[in-house]
Amino acid sequence: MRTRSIIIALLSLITLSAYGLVQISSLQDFNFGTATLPFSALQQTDSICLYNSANPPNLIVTITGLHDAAGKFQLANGSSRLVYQVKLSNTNDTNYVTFTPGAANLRRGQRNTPLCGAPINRYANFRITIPAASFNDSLTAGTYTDTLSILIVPQ
Amino acid sequence: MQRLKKIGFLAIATSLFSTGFTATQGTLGPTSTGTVNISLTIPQLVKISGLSDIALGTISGAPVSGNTTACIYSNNSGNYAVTVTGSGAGGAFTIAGPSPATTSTIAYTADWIANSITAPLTAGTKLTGRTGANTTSVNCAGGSNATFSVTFSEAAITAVPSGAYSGTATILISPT
Repeated sequence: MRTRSIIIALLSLITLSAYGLVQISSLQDFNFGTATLPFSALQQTDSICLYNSANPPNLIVTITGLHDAAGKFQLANGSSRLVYQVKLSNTNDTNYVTFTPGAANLRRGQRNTPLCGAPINRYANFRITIPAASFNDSLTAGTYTDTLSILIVPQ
Repeated sequence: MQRLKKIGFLAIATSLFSTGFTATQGTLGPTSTGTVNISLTIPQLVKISGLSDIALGTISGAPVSGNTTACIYSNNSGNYAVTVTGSGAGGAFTIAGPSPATTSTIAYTADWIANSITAPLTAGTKLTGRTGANTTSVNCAGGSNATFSVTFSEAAITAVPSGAYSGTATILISPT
């Protein structure tokens, strides 16, 4: 009886769960440089690491940034604005979801290691597209910028 | 008959791109947030369009003037510069004749009229500080916002043989 109590007490001391730890990493800036004539759609895709220690490693992803009243992301150069699109795939696929500012979307991460490591199949695809229709005569010359904040939480 | 032909020209100047932004990585925790920066540079762009030839016909007096309207687009807040070069020696503002010969030339003066300002042009010299270019439509929605005007003095006209004279003025628009 006495021995059993000691064992139970020890088990209670080491109870600790890492369930639900998440991390987003491998993010890079998107620099489209200087647009050239004739203007056409521009697109860049980056591989990013979405880690979730849970099984399955599903995540709720919310992306915020400058946007218009219609819920479209915008690059800004003073008061001159230029619409762009934000898309994110699941890890290891090209099943993209188009994000709207502040809206949560379910995405699948990976649970191998927080910083993903070398295998490319541990990464998701993060894509920025500037549609051809965004280029119009009213755009003032200069550099258009925005900063996206990407929040991930366990599902 | 004197005839002056003008050619529009599109000039593009690029602006260098530079930002000091850097993406930030999320940390391991119950939630994680990272940031990325996105940037794109639109170069300075200008365009001249809507030009017409200036055909003065057979003149009956002097001095005589003619002009053409033009559409100037600039995404540099409507600002631009204009440089006009004639077809005379060294880019001089002259027309030559009498056709088919080109042994005689008639000098002319030229003005650029925009935003209610008339500015005299010097052949081959950039006239800066022009304003009022269209900033929303490269073809000014079919309208015009500038005038190129030429004037032939009585002295210049009476100094040459009769006949047809013609030349070309090349109009270069630049963002600054």
